[in-house]
Amino acid sequence: MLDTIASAFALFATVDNALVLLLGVIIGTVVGAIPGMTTVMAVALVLPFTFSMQPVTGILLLLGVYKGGIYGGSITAILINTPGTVAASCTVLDGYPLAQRGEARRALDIALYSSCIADFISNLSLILFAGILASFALKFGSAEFFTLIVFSLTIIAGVSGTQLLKGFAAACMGLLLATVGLDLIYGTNRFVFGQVNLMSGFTFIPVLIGLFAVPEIINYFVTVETSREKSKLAGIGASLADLKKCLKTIVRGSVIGVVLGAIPGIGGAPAAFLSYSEARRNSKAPDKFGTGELEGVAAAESGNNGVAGATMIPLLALGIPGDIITAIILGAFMIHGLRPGPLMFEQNLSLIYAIFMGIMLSSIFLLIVGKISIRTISKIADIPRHLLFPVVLILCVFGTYAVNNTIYDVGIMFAMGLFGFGMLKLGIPAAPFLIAFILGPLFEDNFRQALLISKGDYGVFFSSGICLFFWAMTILSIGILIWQHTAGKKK
Amino acid sequence: MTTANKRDIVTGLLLISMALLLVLVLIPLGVVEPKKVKFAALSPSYYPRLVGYCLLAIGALMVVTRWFGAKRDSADETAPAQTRSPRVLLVLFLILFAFYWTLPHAGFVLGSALALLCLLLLAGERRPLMIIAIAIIVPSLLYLFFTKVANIPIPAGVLEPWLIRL
Repeated sequence: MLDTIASAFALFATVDNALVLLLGVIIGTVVGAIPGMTTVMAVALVLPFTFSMQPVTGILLLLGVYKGGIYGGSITAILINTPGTVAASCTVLDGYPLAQRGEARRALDIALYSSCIADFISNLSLILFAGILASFALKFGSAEFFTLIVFSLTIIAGVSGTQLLKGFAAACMGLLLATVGLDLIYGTNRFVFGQVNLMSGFTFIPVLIGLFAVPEIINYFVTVETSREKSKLAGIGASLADLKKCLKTIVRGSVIGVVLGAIPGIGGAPAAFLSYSEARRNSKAPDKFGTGELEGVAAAESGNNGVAGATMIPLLALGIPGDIITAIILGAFMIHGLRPGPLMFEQNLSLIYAIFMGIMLSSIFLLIVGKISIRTISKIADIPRHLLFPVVLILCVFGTYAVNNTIYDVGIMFAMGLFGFGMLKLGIPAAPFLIAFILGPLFEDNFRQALLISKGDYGVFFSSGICLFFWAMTILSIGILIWQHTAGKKK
Repeated sequence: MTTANKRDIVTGLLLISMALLLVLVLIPLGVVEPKKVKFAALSPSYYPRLVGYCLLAIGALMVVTRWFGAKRDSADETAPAQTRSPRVLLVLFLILFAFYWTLPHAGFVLGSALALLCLLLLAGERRPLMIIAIAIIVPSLLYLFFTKVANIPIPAGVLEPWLIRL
């Protein structure tokens, strides 16, 4: 054990790792603060830059962007009433009224402290629970993995928003795209049509960038830009008394974030709103919520940041992503030849511990970046989008080419971009497509492997307690999501 | 019928067409079946066909529910943003197409600089100095990062004799 920790420390404690993590937090915070740019987009664009890095360094860069992005979304939510990310939409409720009263700095400070504390608690839960879950998952066979992936595909319902049917349609398209290439069992061609490039299937990065960055850029060009408010950073910072007052709310929000984050598909926004409503319910002055209550900012930010570390639990322990960003991080692991899951805990434990160390450091970096550079970052958020988006497109082209050094991938990226733009216009969400594209090969492989072992008997998928547990979880998860969906419509 | 409902019906019809194309044309033509398969579920076409049927069912369900039943209020969605002339989209696609086809010949630095020039103008930037500065600096920095820092060779195209000296 001590040997593993020592080798993990040696793997982690390099200047490169620290710098890259810091850079990731800065990039994430800046991008999260720019309305129209999403954290998913930032992680996707940074991914190609990790190819030449050591696996730990690359993963830490992405994690830094992820963590920074979630916090960054709150900056514009507070300053200009525009959440930089969906997860920060709850922060607007009390953050902006505080800014209007000239207390922007105080609101930003509480948002930062809440984010860092929640992030820290979330990271601790990851360290405590991921290993336990992974050791349990070692008992899994193909049938158990298949039912687990069926359960994890319920994420799709969670990321489909109000468009459940369209989300399922997008997932089917993602599953189909993943079948292109050589058949997993017989090695025969599927949808290759004589194209040598298609034999290995579609590469992850061109599909990712094409779906998440290019459609937003095209959409920017075809829509009339509305004028944006300039960010104003006014007032004095939060005091220790402010923090003490909000501490209970922050811890409660963090726990809510951790619990919801560990369940695939829930995401930061519901955690923020649940934390907010709990804080309001427990408050002595619930009427003040929505009018500039500091505790409201703390509840929203702790809820959405509490999710960040916890979404890594199913990723590292079981190899299934908890949300769209961890789905991209899963892709990054694969690019570096690593497969998260229970076996990684046996074969690459030092790497996992090194990631844990980095993840803890990211909370500290978030605090430093937030405290020192908040003024600069809020100015960067004002960069005109007509300069930003053309530059981002060029970044997409360079990044996509760098994966396999082939122009063909750039073509795939543009094609996926057009396809993604079509999806955007038809209101089909892109996230289910990508999640299904990533999980598709695992889904099919385990399905067919299990049937091969059972000689075609479908009863294998109901043969063990673990399988039955995941079927029950799947039904429960779908039931909850449909209930939420219909309840939301009635409202 | 609301605009949202009409759009959903179009989406449903597109999904049905896509599923039919897949099941009736793409799978028979594009999936090579081995001579012997132990049972149907192991066939390479079984899984894509299954997904195709799901897509067909989703498309049909979408059309039926929007046509006969559940009316989706346009207010369910955020108000659509005001769009610019369709010509902008056409020009953008032309720029992207030209960019893609010139990349192997002109190289990434020159190709990207020209694309940036056009894209910045299309986006509404009118300051010549700003346009030229961005068009030169951004591709050059990206080229230097990928070739010198990440050691990933980026095609330099016609500028190779100059860029190689950097």
